[in-house]
Amino acid sequence: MDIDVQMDSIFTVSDNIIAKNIEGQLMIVPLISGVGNLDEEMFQLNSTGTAVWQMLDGKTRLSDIVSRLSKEYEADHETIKQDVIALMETLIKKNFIFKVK
Amino acid sequence: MENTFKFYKVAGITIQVTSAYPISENTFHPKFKQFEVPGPGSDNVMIYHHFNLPKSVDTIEAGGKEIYHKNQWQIFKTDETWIYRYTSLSPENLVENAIGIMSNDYRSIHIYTENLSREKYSRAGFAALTLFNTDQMIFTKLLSDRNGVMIHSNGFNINGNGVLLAGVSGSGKSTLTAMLKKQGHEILCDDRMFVRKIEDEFCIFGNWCYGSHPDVSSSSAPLKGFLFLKKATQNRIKEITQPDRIAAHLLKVIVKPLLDVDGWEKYFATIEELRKKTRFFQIEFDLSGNICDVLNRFFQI
Repeated sequence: MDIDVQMDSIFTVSDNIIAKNIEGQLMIVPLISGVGNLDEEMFQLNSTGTAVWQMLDGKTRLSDIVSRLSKEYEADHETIKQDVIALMETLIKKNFIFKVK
Repeated sequence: MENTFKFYKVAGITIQVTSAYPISENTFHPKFKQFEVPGPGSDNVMIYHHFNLPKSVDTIEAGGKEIYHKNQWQIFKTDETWIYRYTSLSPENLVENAIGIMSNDYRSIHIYTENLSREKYSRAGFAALTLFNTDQMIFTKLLSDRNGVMIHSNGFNINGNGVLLAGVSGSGKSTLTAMLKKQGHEILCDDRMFVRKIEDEFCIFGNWCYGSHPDVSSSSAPLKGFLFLKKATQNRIKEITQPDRIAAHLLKVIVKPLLDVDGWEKYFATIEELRKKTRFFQIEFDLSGNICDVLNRFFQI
């Protein structure tokens, strides 16, 4: 599994999940053969994680995601960068996203 | 004379059990008695008990996909059916192996088992109508198709108000439950509650899904408060109004059903509606029991 996350990496969301935004909390249910996988817990993203998720469109580079978030949340660029990388690594390990570039 | 069929009703759903053997007063655990009804209702589910394993199940499974295999369960899904293979983890259980074949909507459920004599069946005291260790698997699906969810919580009727108590292990759920019971409030169910929207209102329903616990009631009540517990040095109740906090709390206590993508879409819609229509509270309490007065005042007739 490729978990090498670089700032010029581009990610997209897997087909093997169902995700729903409930009041800013994104719920992710992993699927197995089109059915919710009982072996895996439902995964929850907070509002910032949800904002990142919505930008994982298979086109946007991670550096652009970090820039947008830094601007939106008026937060330190390096802190946001580390948080986004950690989130990407978690989502990759869970097979919720994969790298397209 | 003993019948080969019986009817049980919960959350507006009538379950007809039809058996190849006579069903005695002791075939099922005594907790079922209060759910028994004389006949079918407007929304019926059929469970058939067979006492030999089906010959065709391997062929059916071969046409489907295994979607779960853990502990006592192996579950397959085909285009038209769900197949549950159950192997008891306890050698003391009367049912060592069983196969359940459910229609897509679980309205028709065939349970096959072997090595179970008529005599053993008549005094088995089964804790589940499916003969598995619990009926939870079928009800998460049946509820999700009917604007309902199963919630990991204790349910109470406090002065006619349905109140759910939820909290992580160690949050004091059992302590508060004991306090409320001592005050005479009716407990509807311990640990698993059915919540279903009936005529535009969410109600909570006692049910038989949690083992053979004696604290079970067939009553229901309109859901007026969803309490998340926190042990503290004071007694107070505080409404949670932030939608994201409510969602975060709620999603931790929902019992996850086995659903396909369409089923999940429906399930999420129900969760969202439940969040919008229900009042959520954080309740802090010490061991004095004074919290019961706070709740009594808050949830008045």
